[in-house]
Amino acid sequence: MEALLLNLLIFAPLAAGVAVWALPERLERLAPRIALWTGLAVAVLAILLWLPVFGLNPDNLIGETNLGWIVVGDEIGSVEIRYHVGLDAISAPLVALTGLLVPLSVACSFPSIRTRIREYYAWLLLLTTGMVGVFAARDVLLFYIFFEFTLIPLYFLIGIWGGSERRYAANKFFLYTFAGSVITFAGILYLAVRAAQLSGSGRVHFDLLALSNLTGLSAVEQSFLFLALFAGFAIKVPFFPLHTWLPLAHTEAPTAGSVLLAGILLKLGTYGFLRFSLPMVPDGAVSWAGVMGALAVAGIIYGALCCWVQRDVKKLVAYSSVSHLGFCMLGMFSLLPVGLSGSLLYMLNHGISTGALFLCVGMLYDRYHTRDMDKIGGLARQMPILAFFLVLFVLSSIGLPGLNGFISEFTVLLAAYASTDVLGPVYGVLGASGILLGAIYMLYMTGNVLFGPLKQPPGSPDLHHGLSVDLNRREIAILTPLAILVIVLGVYPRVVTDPLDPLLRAQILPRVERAVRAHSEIINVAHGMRTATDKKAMDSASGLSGNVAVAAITPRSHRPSPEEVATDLQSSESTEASTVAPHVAAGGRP
Amino acid sequence: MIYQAISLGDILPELTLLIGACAVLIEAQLGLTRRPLSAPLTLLTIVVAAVLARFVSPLEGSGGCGLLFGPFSDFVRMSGLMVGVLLTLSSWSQPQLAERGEYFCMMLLSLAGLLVVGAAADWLNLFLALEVVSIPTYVLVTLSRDNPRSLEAGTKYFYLGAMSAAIMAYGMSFLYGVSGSLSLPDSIAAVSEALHHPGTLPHGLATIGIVLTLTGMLFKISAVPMHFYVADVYQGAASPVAGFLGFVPKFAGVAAILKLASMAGGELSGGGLFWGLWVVALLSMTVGNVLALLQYNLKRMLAYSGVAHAGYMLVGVLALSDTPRGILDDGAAAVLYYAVIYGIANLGAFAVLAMLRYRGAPCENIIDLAGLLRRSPGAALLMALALMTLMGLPPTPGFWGKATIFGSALARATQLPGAEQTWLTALVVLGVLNTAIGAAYYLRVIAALLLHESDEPAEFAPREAPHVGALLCGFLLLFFSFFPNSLLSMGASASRDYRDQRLARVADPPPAAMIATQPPAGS
Repeated sequence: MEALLLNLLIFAPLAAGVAVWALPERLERLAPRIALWTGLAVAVLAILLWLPVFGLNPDNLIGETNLGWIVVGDEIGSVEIRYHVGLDAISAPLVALTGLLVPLSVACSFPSIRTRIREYYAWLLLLTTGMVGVFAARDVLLFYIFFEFTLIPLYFLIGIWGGSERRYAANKFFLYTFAGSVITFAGILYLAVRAAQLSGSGRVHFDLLALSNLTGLSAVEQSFLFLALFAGFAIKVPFFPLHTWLPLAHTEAPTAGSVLLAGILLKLGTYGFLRFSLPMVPDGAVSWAGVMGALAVAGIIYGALCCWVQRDVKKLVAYSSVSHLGFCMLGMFSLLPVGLSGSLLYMLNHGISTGALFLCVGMLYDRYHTRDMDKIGGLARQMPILAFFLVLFVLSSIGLPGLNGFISEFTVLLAAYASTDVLGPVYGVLGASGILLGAIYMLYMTGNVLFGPLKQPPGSPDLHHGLSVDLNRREIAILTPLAILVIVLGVYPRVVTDPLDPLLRAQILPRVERAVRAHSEIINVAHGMRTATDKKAMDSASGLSGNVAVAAITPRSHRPSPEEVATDLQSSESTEASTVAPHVAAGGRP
Repeated sequence: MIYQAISLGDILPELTLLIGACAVLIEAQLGLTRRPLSAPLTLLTIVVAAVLARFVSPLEGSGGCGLLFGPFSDFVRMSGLMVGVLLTLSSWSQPQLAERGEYFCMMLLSLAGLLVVGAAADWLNLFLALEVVSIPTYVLVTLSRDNPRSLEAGTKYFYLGAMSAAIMAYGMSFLYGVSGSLSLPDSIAAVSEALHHPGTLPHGLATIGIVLTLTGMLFKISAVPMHFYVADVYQGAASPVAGFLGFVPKFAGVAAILKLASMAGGELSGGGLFWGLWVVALLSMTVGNVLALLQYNLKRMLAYSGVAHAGYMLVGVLALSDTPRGILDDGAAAVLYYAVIYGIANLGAFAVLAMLRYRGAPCENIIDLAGLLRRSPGAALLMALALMTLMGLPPTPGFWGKATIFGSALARATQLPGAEQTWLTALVVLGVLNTAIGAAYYLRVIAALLLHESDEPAEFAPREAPHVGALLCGFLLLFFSFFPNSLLSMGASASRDYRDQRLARVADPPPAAMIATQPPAGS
């Protein structure tokens, strides 16, 4: 049943998109309606599929379908590309977020899209298929296909319905991401080929879990593979020196495009790092973690400084994504459990609050046809409802305690601080300055737009297409679900992190932790040649501080009961388990 | 190897094409009916040939007179005839009435040559078949064209083609000299034996022979450094003919190169040949893509992109392996698949282009395509699909082609020793980066088609048959997007056939003394 629902979730938008495209011209007004209803159905399905995530066994998938798609070969060797989809605790929340944002972005397009309407909604629905598919895919090549497929609809959404520089923006977006992802593709191919060789079977497959448990790659190979995967994912994130396509694409895209780009598509990059880079090439990830951390911090600060000088509200929000995803990556490359779950939480929170900010900016733009902070100001008096929502989302984006941004920002910084094996306090401290800068630029923008003397361009607000001075019912209905989520996730983030922990523990952490240990041993040996005592001190310090933080953040799930530790020790004969257990036990002690 | 007699039944499809060619020519000269029958007759001929090839196929491994039948020749036959149908449809009404007979006769002859290339098992047949493929194309380029540019293109194409044929024949004479036999399997055994003894005279001669022969074949697939004719010829030729040039000579060249490269076999992984092909592959990809990026004429752009695609195919040739473990280790399967897909996509783009008119003249510049989506959505989407296939965007069949080619190269790289492993892997990385360059210029056309608006979009003047041809191209591309299995498996068994044959020979080589002293029995 769930399998049917998941496949429906992937393919119904595709079918609806084709249907919308094929509508005859006289029925054009039906297009938005069909798209909205499909979007609502997507939302319902996505949330239905997210619910079973509680208590899900990490080995099981929600709505798993596993069919052979392209199987070529004979008994000596073959290539298998499978249509294997299913959701787990990492992907289900992201699919739920997708489901939530799709109807909202359809609904926000009603007043602004006036040309080539059928095409617009068709591309939007095709994009939905791509986004759901990419998270649901369990076959790496299937993932890659959906990953690339998302480029096409967004390219057209930006290029046809965007702002004045839309074509340049769309081309830059497409070519930048395509150039990165073909390198990722080469990396995936190499990984699969090597996996077949290592297993000695001659069967080349792209199964996610099997590739995630691959052993036997040399350190150099892992390092290069990490770089290959990095090329595609980092551009998508966008990671600091590779972010230059993003502000342009965001600014030029129509509101719905920006919302989905910021809310979902940027997450493909971070999801890729979490899902592929970390478990598949853990040694590579560890050896590059320092660089990744440094770049993440650079991105946080650089993005924030860029925001500070923007006069264009939308560009400001766009640059804030660079800064925010720097946080997300910083948490991930702390390589601590708390950092990983914080980073996933960050993805969701960023999707919600930045998506919401783009929606607000879009609603302003519909009325004033400008996003220039010098031309609009003091709108709070005219538009109290918008002011309320904007302030709420700005505060959530800054990370006000009690709202969703806070908990994830705090955890990733703590993880960076505590992860002495790979990152360290310096990263945490420098990263934390991003919070301060974030507060500055966000509040500066809010102050400019909402408060002070009333400024509006002549002839505005433009109240065609059923708009009113303040938000109308449609717009309130768009923003309300996001506002509720901002508060819910702020108060009770465990709704995401609780199901996540067992999965991370089962699939990603063991390999990452082993790599971290191997790495720190090498470093310790190097240090040990100089001072043996230092090494001991460092070891105990890193073990303690890291795990104290872990215990502090998610007390329940991170503190294993004595029985668990005992069974761990008994059941597993490998050396790793016996070394993990004391660490875990140490974490439980305080 | 003593020449066996061949049963006529084995070469029925080729004979059918030949007879069809004559019939088309005669029918056109007699003018028996008021409506010209050339095109329908051609179609009928190809369909009959395809049916014969499918159902009356000769026994595997049978053959004689320097022909050999098996999965490889079947693959060439089936895909050649399949695309032949598309070619006929798309050039249905292209030639002027008076010249239709010649046009379709040349087309059928060229196709017949292609089919023989697939089956050729001795040097003489291979050379003749390649020339039977090429010579009609010199005529096709100039037929029914009234601008001087076409004449120039045809002349250029003819002289360069003749030169490359001479180079190839010269190279083959060296190979004959080394092995003392015209038959490919015998020659293969002797040449790979000679290649195993560096420093000796046979080794030097065999190397020269392979390099020269390969150079001649590179002309057919328009790889660097034999690419100079390509842009002018494509621009000068009518659009359907340009589509023809992208498939028939190229596919014939690829099949011939696969035969030749399998001769070097394991030697391809070491020594000069590897590095030579490596450089040619890289240059073809890069030069082709960069030059295509600079073009504003769609035909010239597609011509240069064809150079780049030849480079991708050569990456697959480098991945040939003696001991493949499944399809990904086997570059030949990937190359065969890629050549067919490239041919269909290229033809699809040209077929649509052929039906477009901008201000009364044939549409040639990228900018002329602006706003086509509004005027005729079907044509615009079809062309976009063809271009996305050429770009290699998943899940188009072009993507599967690139995936298998680069995958086999990587798989091959892991089996190679040190330096070659690194450099073959590097070639794959350079290859995917080239794909990204390629995306830039294909995207420019897709943007013109789908993004741009124009007050005066190009006019789509569909004629029935070309329209059906273009639609069929689109259908095949869609089909192979989701079900590439069939063609890939066919390619895999085709390549296996050839390799097995060679390995059997290598395992049991003719005594070397006999090669050196005795004149070959067949001469």
